[in-house]
Amino acid sequence: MKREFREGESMSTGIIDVRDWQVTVDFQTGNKIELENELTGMVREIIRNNRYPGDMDLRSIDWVTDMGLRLADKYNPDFMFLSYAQPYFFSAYGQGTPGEWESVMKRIFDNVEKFLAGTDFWPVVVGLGRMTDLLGKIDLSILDCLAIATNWSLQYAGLFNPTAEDVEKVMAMPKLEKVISKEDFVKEYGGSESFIKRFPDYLLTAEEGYTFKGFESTSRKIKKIPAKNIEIPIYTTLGEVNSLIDIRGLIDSVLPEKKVALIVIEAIGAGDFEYEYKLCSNKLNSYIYEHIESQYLAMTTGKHFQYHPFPPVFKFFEEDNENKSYPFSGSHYTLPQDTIGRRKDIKSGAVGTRGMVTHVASGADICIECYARQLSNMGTLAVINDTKNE
Amino acid sequence: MYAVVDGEIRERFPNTWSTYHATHIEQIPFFHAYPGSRSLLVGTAGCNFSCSYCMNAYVAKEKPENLDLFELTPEKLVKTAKLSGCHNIVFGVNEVTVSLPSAINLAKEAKLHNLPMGCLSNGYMTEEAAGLLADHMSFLNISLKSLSPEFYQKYAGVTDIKPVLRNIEKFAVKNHLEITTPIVQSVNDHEIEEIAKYIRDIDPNIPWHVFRLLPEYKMKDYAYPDIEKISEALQKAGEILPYIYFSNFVGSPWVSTNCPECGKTVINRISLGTCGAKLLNNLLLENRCPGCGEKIAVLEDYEKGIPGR
Repeated sequence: MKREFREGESMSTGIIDVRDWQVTVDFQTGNKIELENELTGMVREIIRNNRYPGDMDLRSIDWVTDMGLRLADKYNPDFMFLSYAQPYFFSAYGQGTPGEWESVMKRIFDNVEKFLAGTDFWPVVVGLGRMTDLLGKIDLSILDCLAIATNWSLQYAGLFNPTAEDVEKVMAMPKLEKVISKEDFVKEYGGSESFIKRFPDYLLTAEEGYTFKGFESTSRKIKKIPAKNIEIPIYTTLGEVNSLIDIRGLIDSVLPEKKVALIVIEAIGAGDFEYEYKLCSNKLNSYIYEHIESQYLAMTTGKHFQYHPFPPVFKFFEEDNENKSYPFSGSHYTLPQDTIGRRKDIKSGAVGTRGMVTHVASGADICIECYARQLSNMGTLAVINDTKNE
Repeated sequence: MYAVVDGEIRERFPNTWSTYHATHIEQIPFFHAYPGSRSLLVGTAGCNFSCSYCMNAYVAKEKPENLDLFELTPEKLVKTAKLSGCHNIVFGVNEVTVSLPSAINLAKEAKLHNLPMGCLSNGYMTEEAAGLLADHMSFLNISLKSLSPEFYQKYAGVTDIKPVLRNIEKFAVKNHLEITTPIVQSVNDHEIEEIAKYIRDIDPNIPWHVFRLLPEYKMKDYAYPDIEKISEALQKAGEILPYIYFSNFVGSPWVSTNCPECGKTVINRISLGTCGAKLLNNLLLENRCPGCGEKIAVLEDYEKGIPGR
């Protein structure tokens, strides 16, 4: 079942399926490779026979479950990570009628039940926080400096090399909750060297219901954005969780004696959560997590956002060049090695409709995720990580 | 978007933009202009076509007054390009001719700061408009959707193909030109050889981007293009035209540039999906193949004019 590596190749393999056509790549370089073994054959077969329906298609909820069941059956992992992102897409970009939302919720929890009934995992189910109506945008394009506001982080924006006048203008902007300088942030939060190096000169936080527009924004209409979810609902019978970073420790404490499935559902708060939940903290000081990579990584590594390499806003375009490795992994130059899925004593699998984040945050031996960009359905990506078994 | 005011044609939403962000030029896509450079990609809203398969309908088919747009002067955009380390500016996202005065003013300002400007266009415009673009844009990528007037009538909502062909031929003489053709399965895939011949007859050095069109917008129920079949057709067309690319699917093996003389890969790229690609490495030595010395038609700063023509 193991891949044989040639000199210069990474220990991760990507298999891309774009309907009736597949290609295998070295995941570090992105270059095509020829590789056939039992494991790649198994993964190819799974993704070939279950096409991703698309971000705005309700059947994509079933897709996660079906893929998860197939992977659990064929690979028999000790740890499974499932990410249901569809509620986010429906909430942010859909029609948003109450009837539509109810059917999304029903389908989600029916699917979670189906997965759990078809496997023997102990569940840890987390709702990543409710959405709220978009009330308005704070326009940063009036500033002289580079003011970055991206769809990756809707509640936060960053200023780079602002003038004194820029800072003055920002301070007077309505609906702005907080402005924190890099210096003050580092004093309060600390953080990894790579995180601090990339951190903007000023980090801006919008009030609930507001987002930013500026350099890097798009005009795609968005109806709802993540609310200020200070706490998020969690269901598990495995033990107590006070903060989202405790999830890692809880799962670590029972693996490998118990098989565990960490199931995350985006855009769901306590009000929509169907299981008997407890609330856990979704923040650190004044920083509140959104449905982005930092929230996923906090759960799967047990470390808060400032100990990961990338702040909520940074100049990704400066690094997105031919020297960047792992081209299918967004901003990452290496795949994080401190995630649950990288534990050396377990087998792990992951399926998700939050592309890129699923394989980055789970670190699972086998990850299957949709390959969609800006709601365009490009197909499916599977990642096979072999390093920990070497 | 224009209105007649006091007997004059005026732009309705001057200097009003839907986006401004940095990307690499291969993503837009331009494969033979300034490889590996960073571009400030800008766009407005609206289009003069009504393509049934539009990928950017959220901005191209939406009325500008319904969108949350930016009011940005040419000076502000050029300053942003410089602050973000961009080598050039490209008008993309939607059709440039709906905002021609704004685009031209931006190009003029960019020129003052030695930033080349390019654009994407469907090529459907008057000779006068084409003349303005030819005068102010350093590089263009024109979408040639078909050679059939019926295709343009049925899928793009315009009556005639002639202006597009006329303008392509004009740009090819004066500007760095690349051409893109979206392939709709069973609708225009049979035209591959014919289009390759058409481009070759204008200039065999024109790069041709064949675009795997995902069934979207009003064509959601259409089939996904068959990659194997189209690849076979492109393989044959490669004997007609040396620089053919096939993209909009992740992992496409058709996004690198090979030397037409010795076959060596001289610019290596990777497809991450979407319309373009990403540079992995550029082996050209002053636009020449490092293997055999053949000149490759690539627009670069150290070349004045258009190399290889």
